[in-house]
Amino acid sequence: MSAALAAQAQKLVVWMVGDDKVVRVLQPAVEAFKAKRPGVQVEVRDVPWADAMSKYSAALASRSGPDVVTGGTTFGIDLGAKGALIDLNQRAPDLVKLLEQHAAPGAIRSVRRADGVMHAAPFDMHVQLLYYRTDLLPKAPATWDEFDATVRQLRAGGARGYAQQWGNTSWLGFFPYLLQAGGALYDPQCTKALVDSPEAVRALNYYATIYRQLKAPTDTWPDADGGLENGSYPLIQSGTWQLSSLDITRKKIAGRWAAAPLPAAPGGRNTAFIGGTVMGVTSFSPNVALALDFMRTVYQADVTRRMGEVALPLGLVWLPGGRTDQLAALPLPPQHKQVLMAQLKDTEGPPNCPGWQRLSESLTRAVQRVVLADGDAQQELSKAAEKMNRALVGGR
Amino acid sequence: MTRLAIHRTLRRHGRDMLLVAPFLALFAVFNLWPVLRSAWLSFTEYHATAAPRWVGWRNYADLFADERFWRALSNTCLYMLLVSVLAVVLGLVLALAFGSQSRLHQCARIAFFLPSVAGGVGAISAWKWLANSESYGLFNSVRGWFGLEPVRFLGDPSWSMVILVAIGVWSVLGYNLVIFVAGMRSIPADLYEAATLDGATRWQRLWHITLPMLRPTLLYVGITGMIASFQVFYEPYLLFGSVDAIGGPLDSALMLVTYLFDYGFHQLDLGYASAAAWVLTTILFVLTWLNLKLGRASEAH
Repeated sequence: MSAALAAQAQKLVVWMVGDDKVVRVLQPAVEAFKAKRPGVQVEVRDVPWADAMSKYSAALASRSGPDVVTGGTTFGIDLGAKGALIDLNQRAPDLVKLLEQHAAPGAIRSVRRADGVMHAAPFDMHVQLLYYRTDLLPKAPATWDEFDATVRQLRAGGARGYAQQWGNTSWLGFFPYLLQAGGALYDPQCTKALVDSPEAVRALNYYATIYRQLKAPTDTWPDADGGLENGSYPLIQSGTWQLSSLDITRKKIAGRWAAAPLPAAPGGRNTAFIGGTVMGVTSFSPNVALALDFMRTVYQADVTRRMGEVALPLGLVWLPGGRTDQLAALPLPPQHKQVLMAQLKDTEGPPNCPGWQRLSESLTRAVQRVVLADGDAQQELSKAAEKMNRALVGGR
Repeated sequence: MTRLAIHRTLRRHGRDMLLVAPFLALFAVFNLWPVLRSAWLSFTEYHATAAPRWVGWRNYADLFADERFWRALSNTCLYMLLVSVLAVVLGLVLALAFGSQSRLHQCARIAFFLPSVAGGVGAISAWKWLANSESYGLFNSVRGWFGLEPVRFLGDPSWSMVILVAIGVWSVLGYNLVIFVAGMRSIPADLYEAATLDGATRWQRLWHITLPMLRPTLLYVGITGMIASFQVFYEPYLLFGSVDAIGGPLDSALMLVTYLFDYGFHQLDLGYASAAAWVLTTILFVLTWLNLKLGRASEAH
């Protein structure tokens, strides 16, 4: 069968969002695949995040271009829903079974629909973490109450306190608090939006205090790592990419910072958002079988490990979203690995419900009306829920 | 037209037609066809993954029922008004102040013109640092000298438009200045000499000679500035856009083009985005027509 596949198509085109580094990270997979299929050429091209949407949509419209693509989780979900990616569950159940065993559960829940359809596989992942200055803070806060007390103390000492970076004042920044408080965006079957529940209202009211009382910056993407370096924000929230980049970009604080899981709500959960990219096969690809075989290679344990090893000298922490069983083997500093493993126990990605990509704006609006304009949490969340419910039944 | 007439026309203009044919073909393929296609797409549901499905006026109805569209429209109108007026008035003031051939004035004109050629993504990154919300942002450092608290220029909805207008004016001011200087040079000097002999003051010469004679230039700068500012995209997108939100705090920086880009390329709702594009085109067409009409009426007067 493999000889027949190689004869049919001699070239596989892979488009990856990101810079040239992501292409180099994929090289071990390309080499392993070429070793299996010597006659097949694999062309891997990076597509900058800023151009990804327009390039992918042009390729879709012309029914030409890549066989395999990576993209942001939400975009991947949306592309799949619009018929641009094949259903992996139907075409490669063996791969899906492997992913179910080894992928981050939060990432799998994001890409698999309630009816079992799975258009993309978790490729790499990033998770929200706390970062703090070890010379200015004895330890990171572990609960909401401790967080509140810590930030007040920092502010009383002359610092500006805490800065949230990833998802600041948007649905993505609020999302972990919603889940920590016991809330959810939708019910598991995507039949009803739940963002107006009492848990959601409690979470949003708490989230708003971070800005209203603790005066966290409200910029879309605050310079939190700069603040961590100069001491104005000794406690920040950001993504796992900082694990590798802080020592490079903020050399002044090398050895004087640490990461920690997010603080837990009174109920005990400390859920963090899990993002990153997903990988899928385009529905217009003439080489679907070959492309699926390439994906199988990407998710081989030894290949995944080598990809993680290749990434480190490039200044990247490449976390395999589809093979978390290989995380332990990655050459990460033990303290970072420990924090990462602790946080990964409770992570959740964007929901795979109809219209979410578009509807996320209404939740962001609700969050911002409460945070920036003193809006009433119950009222604003009810409005968002109404729109989300309308989209579930096919409305715009 | 008879066969003979066609034959005569071809004999007379055949070579000319042949010469312009490549341009016309390219124009038809790359300009006319996409525009007509987008008009048709605006009446369809189209996600690039399947053939467009005719939905009639639904996209337009949904568009007009969307409060974010109205927010984007009002933001764009306000931005256009402020940038157009400020850039014209300040450009004129600068042209009057630095319009001579002296070395100093030439240097000043070059300095003001630089943003027009050195703008783009790099300049917006620089603005991002100038308007940084922390105390080390330049604007906040200046506020700090006067004992004022730092302001969240990029995180407070009430500041978003101020920053965008400042960048908009900064980027076109030099261009307007150069056009106005060129326009002023074309005014016959004897008009000023005669007015001076008649005892006209500087203010009277400005009001009764310079401004009326500059009317066509003002009209040109006004219309082109208006169209350009109505299509503003990368400034709000780069300053306020992020992966999960595109319009800045409370959509205070959401513009019509960012709105349609969001629908077209983030959500692949190309039919809906085409409807938004056609609303934008219609508004621009009406505004340009009104401007030209008012300009001609005033010229006739």
